[in-house]
Amino acid sequence: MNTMNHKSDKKLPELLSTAPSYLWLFVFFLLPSLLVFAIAFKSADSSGGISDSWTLSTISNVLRQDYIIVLWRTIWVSVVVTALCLLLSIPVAYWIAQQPKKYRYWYLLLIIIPLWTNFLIRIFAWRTLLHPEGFLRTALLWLGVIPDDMFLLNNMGAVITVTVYTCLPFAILPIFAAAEKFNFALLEAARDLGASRFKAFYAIFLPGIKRGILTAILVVFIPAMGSYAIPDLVGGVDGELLGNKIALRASANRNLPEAAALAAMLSIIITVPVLAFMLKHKRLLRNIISIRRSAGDSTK
Amino acid sequence: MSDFFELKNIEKYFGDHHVVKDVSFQVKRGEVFSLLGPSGCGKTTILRIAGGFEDPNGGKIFLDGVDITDKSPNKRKINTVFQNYALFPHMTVEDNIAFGPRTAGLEESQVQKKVAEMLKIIRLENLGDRRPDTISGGQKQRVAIARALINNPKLLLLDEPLAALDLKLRQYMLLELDRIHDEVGTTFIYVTHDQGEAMSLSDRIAVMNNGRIEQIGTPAEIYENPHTKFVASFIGDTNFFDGRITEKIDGEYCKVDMFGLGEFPAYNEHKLPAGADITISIRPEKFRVFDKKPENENLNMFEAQIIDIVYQGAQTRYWVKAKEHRINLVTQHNRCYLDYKQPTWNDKIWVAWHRDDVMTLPNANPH
Repeated sequence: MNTMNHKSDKKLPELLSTAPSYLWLFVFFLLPSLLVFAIAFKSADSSGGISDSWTLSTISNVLRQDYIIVLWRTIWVSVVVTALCLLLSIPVAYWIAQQPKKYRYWYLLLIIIPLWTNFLIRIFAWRTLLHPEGFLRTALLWLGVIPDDMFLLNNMGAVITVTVYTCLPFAILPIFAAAEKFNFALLEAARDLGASRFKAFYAIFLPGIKRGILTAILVVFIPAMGSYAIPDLVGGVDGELLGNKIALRASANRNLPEAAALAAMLSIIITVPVLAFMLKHKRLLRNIISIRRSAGDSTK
Repeated sequence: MSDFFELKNIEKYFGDHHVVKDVSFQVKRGEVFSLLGPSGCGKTTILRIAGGFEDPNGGKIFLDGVDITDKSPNKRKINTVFQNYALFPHMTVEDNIAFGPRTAGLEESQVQKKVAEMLKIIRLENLGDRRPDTISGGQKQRVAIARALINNPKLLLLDEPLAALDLKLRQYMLLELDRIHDEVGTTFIYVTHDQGEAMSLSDRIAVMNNGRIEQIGTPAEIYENPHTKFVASFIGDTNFFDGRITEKIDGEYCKVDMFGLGEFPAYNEHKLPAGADITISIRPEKFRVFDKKPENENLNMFEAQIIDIVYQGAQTRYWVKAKEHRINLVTQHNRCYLDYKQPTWNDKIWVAWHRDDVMTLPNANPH
């Protein structure tokens, strides 16, 4: 009896101190998510509200072909963005991690500083840059690198470019964190044992920073899947992603149930595999949280 | 035994820092050759140059008659045992050892056979499927050696391989290294700052100081006949006295004035001329202690007073004072030789030594 009392004595302060955050998460995260899932089983009424009766028609409506095409496009764009981010960030992290310690954090700072500018302003800057009359296209045309009928703005290329640009710091940071802890003597050992530079890199360095790469994949892929502002501003008609569809249904069309159904579909597609993965690698979760915070993220 | 690895006039700068200064040496096939010196003397840099991890600013490297100066590490038939083992953490012990042969494209069945052989040599047959972080320091050390040796290198470089181990394990691994060397017969270049390791393992030692090789010789040569003050002080204990050569006795010997202690005959190793200022070095164990003046004309001697005694089990170390000199000497205590009572604090004793046990070192550095 006594020990039981003792235990509950300790439990109570713990419960009281964590209760506010749980309450916060419940009211502002779990409840809204559940509401979104619930509204997906309703239909819209003519005045833009939500009908009283339950239905499965909204869900089945969302599974029709034009949505699946957009969903598919969203997935492959996110995959391409993630792959490009990895391709760019691994060499950068590899290089920074080998610089003298006193310079490393200056290089990191250079990567992080752009994040302190408002997200939308940076995208508008890209609009100016990619504009048909803009500096970049004029220069490329003059150099004869691109054909006359090629445009840089309002297409999928622009969406991918700008998304890679926004996500890159979030990929570099976790990979750098892993690379900094990597023992570069291992690469010498591999070279010593007959491996070429390239073989040492992929057989020893990449496995050595695996955790950083996995974190980077999650930190880039998930936001890319939900991307909305970038395709809206630089994507044009062809660059529409699922996030834009959701926004369109929720605001312009006033069809909240359909928007909810799309949002639910998106979150299931992301959450289920990611959750399963994270339960296996619990440390990744902590990494992601600390990295987005430490970068002073203004994206979300 | 032929010279088959050679460094010729190697120079290396890190920025303005001249870390390796005109280093040349030859290593014979099958030899254990040690680079011994204090930290920062350039010995690890030389090893890294031999392994191909640093490019020398000058000089050439030859292996088996072939100039390998410009070859990258993976193109040299040289393997390295790194200081902190550098085992690949994401691979098992077996996969670590198999890395070299697999990279070389050896058939998997052959790889398995060789790995099993190596595991047997290092006596870790049961640990093949373990990860490096689950085995002990001494075991990691042996895996690192196996991982290097499986490639049949012409030359094995060992960079302070025992530095991370505790004393007991170090002594054990020293014997293991010796056994492995006997078993495989590979040529070893062994870098260490520990004279004990170097003395017990090496056929020859190069003593390094401040980027230069001060002396190359067998352990006995280096200990008994150091060429410079640095070598005399770095290898073992010694007593230094300032002195001057007063006259040459014949080709071999000379008379030295040990300022205040008297004039004594001494072996003149470096054929120094009369009038030369020198440093005289006498090792603590070369002294003999007498309670009264010994009647032996072959001995040099002076009277001294005991100021401190340190009993060390196998031996006793005395600190004695003679004129302004503080001298440390060591005696073994074998009961049968104790024909006098053990001296004690403040006792007057006679300290004697043979003229062959004096090292007369030039004051001017040869460099």
